[in-house]
Amino acid sequence: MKIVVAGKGGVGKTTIAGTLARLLARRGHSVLALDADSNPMLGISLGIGPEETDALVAVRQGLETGETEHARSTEGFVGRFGRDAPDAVRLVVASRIERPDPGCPCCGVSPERLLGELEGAGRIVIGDLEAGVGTLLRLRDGQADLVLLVVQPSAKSIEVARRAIEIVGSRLPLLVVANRVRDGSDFDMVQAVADGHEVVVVPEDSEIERADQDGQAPIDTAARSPGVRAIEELAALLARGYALPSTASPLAPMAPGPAPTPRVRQGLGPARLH
Amino acid sequence: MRLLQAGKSGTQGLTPVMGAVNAFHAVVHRLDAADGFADWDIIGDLPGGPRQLAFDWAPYASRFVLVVEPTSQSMLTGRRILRLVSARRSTSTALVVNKVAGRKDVERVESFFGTPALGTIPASEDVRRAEAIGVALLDFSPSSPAVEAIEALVERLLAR
Repeated sequence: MKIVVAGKGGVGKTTIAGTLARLLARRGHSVLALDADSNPMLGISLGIGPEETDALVAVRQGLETGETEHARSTEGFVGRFGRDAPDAVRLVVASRIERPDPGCPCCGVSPERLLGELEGAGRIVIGDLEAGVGTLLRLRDGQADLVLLVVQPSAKSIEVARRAIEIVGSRLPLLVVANRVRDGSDFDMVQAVADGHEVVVVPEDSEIERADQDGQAPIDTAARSPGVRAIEELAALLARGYALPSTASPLAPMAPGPAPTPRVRQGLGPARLH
Repeated sequence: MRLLQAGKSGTQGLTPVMGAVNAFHAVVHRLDAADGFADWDIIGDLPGGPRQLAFDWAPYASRFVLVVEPTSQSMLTGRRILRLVSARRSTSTALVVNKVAGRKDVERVESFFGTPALGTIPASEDVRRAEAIGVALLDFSPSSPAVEAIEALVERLLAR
């Protein structure tokens, strides 16, 4: 099964993709997390930390460097360039932009090509797409089985969602994830653009925000928070084979969980302005 | 004020708007030398992340304003962008910290980048509500602290 996570930049797409990957792995699934964003950040949401995330070698750049004989298959790329994340999730970065004029990021070893060639049977591939609709436009048959469209209740995010839904059309099943929902009017706003697709709600969650600030995985620092529990419910729905409820049940009251276990902050190394 | 916007891709992909995209690229590469805009201030709003900078979509810029939130993802992105800016040309960069909840947020970002911020924009419910309904913040809440902070930033940018 191949799931791609799409949406406007800054809507929480990567946080949901990373948390979902780990929750599905905890349910016993074999999970490959493909960071398909040319500004890769999925490692942070998976819990390997900012500096480790920044140091990952992307498949495309790894092949271009060619310092060693590389694997001859796409699955071999996962072994050669991938990295293990917590809960046995395998993480691989498709491509990253790190220098001027880096060559066309959607040609050659592109995220959609990797999605197409990676084996989806017997495991779950979760692709965290680049913000916007570019990769969705290029997706072809066999490259994804399900689109998770993350939408937050803002006009700009809604506009991107409207275009994404139009692009996906009836080619693929699509599930809308309404993120950072505060109240019924937020939910109504997202549902209005969902065009009949199921809507799963992830409530606004200050503990997830704090984890994002600190460069940690919400599942490690706020496992019992309302947001993580909502993503857990999303994982359960997916695991049941799209047995989604016929009507969304937004804003179900959730009891606050226990205080998260304190963690050591993972710091970031210095950067300098020029 | 004049607004120039590149074409948006629709369900047919980029193909129908490639002409507009190419024209936009040509325009931004000629802005700097265009006599008609010699006394204009040009503000380019680039998409998030390093892609557009890598492909030199802001050659007209004499200054980059790097807007960073006090999150690890945002700071990491800012660092990647800085590498590209410095590799592309020697353009000065000003740091702006956005969605600031307190002095600690500013200190964290300033410490990471090793420079004081030129501007700090407070986290604001007004901004969230304006974005929710798609209205310019300046129209929605002209006296909000976020607007005041952006006004102060404008003054500092003009003074440099």
